[in-house]
Amino acid sequence: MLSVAPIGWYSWASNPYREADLATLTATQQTVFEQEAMQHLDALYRTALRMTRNPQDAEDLVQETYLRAYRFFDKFQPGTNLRAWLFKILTNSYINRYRKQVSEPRLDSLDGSEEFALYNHMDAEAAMQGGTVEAEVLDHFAEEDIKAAIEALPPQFRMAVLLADVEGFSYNQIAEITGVKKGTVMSRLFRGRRLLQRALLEQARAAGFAGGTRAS
Amino acid sequence: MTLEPQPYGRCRETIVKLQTFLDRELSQDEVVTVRYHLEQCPPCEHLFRFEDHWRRLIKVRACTENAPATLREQILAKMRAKT
Repeated sequence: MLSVAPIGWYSWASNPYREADLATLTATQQTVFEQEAMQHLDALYRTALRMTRNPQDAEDLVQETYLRAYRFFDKFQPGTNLRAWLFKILTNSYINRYRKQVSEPRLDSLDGSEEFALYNHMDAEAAMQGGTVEAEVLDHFAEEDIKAAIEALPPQFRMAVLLADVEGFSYNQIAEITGVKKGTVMSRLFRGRRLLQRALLEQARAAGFAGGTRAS
Repeated sequence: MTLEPQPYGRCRETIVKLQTFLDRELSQDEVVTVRYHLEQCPPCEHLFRFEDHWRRLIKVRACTENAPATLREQILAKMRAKT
């Protein structure tokens, strides 16, 4: 499994007083950064856009992410995952800017893995009793509706869902990026996906293109 | 639709692994066990197919925007100005 960054890197990445200590990048490092890191601009931007819900704020957040990454690039370990490292800086920058929205009432009350097991168990019960709608129903959802439903998720769930379902990061990578335990990642993902599904399916039923659960 | 206990089957144990299976986070042995059950059990197979379809839908429709062309230039200009 790839490690994202040396342990504890966030302590300097979020500490402005350390700036003075930093070495300047060599010309080679600069070129590498521009070639490698800039490839991830679209991915970082679309994530930022869903998280900030506003194009101008998304641009600001991505810009901050790159300038911070550039400043600390000499701390990046070559051979580790640059994309995950950039997403980690994006996440930290987002949390710093939107601290208020992120620190909602405690969403992770139980230990992550315990909670995940509980929800997963409940899901199994529901699935065994309730059935589900046809997969084809999903094709009717418009991009705008899906985007709006994602933006309505609590930020921590939203970030987990975006990192997993859009960007394809593994549980361990998301744990590293968001700074929580793997069990918490699984639980946030599980609950985020459930909330999203429920919101969209309710909307679909209201619009009349999805029936209720299939009859037994 | 109610799932009946299958002769080979382990509906509950399979559904509990739904998320980790689709996220490709199960061990190879567990994947084999889940696949085996899905081949035997149409209702579970239906549920897994639905969830898989869901994930693909989110992937292609949740984030379709690209960064504005000016953003790249702004970032590069600021980085160069800092060196």
